[in-house]
Amino acid sequence: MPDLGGGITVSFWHHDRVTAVPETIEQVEQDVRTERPWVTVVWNDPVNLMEYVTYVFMTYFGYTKDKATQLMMAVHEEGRAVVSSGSREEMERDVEAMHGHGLWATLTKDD
Amino acid sequence: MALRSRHGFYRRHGGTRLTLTPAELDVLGGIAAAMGQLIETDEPQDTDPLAELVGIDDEAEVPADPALLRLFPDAYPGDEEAASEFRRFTERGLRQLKAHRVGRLLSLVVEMAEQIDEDGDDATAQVAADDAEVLLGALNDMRLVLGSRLGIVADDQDVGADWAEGDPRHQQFDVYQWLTWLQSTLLETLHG
Repeated sequence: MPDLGGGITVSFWHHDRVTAVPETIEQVEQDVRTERPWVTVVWNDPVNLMEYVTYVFMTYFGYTKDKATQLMMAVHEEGRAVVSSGSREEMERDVEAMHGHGLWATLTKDD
Repeated sequence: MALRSRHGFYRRHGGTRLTLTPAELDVLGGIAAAMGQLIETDEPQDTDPLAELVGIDDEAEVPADPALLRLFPDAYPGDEEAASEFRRFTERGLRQLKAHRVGRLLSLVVEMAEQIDEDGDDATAQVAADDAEVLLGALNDMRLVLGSRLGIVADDQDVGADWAEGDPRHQQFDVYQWLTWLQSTLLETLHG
């Protein structure tokens, strides 16, 4: 995901505030990854804005801004992140919603 | 307090407004119309009215156009059968959603264009609360398609470095960056 380029005067929040906590990112992913068998994975892409992805995680999943931001950073830095887990039907609903929002999402069985 | 010229999306008196120049409206209307065509032209034909009623599309195939594939990606990596099944059940609805959103954007552009007279002043419109997210999605879809057309594939890519001078993609990339700015101003109003 891109930061805004030169000449664009929109203030996104500061990177260093969220990048400094990799353990927390793992924790959040761990929280999301429960005992249930299917997961929704969101993949990094170079077009979707970081703040947009955070916004989608907040509004669709109802995650707090902190949790949504950490998941967004996990996607951005690790290339992908598990953003929800549940039954196969639930994950298909989540993936369809992510596609509706323009996020690149897949579902898979959590091993 | 000094009067500041407002531009893009912004909050005013508890609501959201959009102000654009006539040239910007022109560009935005052009991309929105092209986007609507892209989504609708390729819409698979359905012959089964019952399937249509429940949103199933027996004809849905993996799009050959990479931009459409980006809008409607495979949901099951490495499992063609499951991916195709998912596509049959979701693609029609997703296309309708995206067509609806770009249609709302186009209506707004038309509404604003009607304000423009010979003076060439900026046009301003009030954005209904439930329209903000619709427009956000439409702008995002347009950026995804343009990004795909321009071959933007990596975060750290020097876009346009290998394009010759006069390559029309330079101008398209300007438009892409302008859309990025416009979407960002809308995101700011939503984050409030």
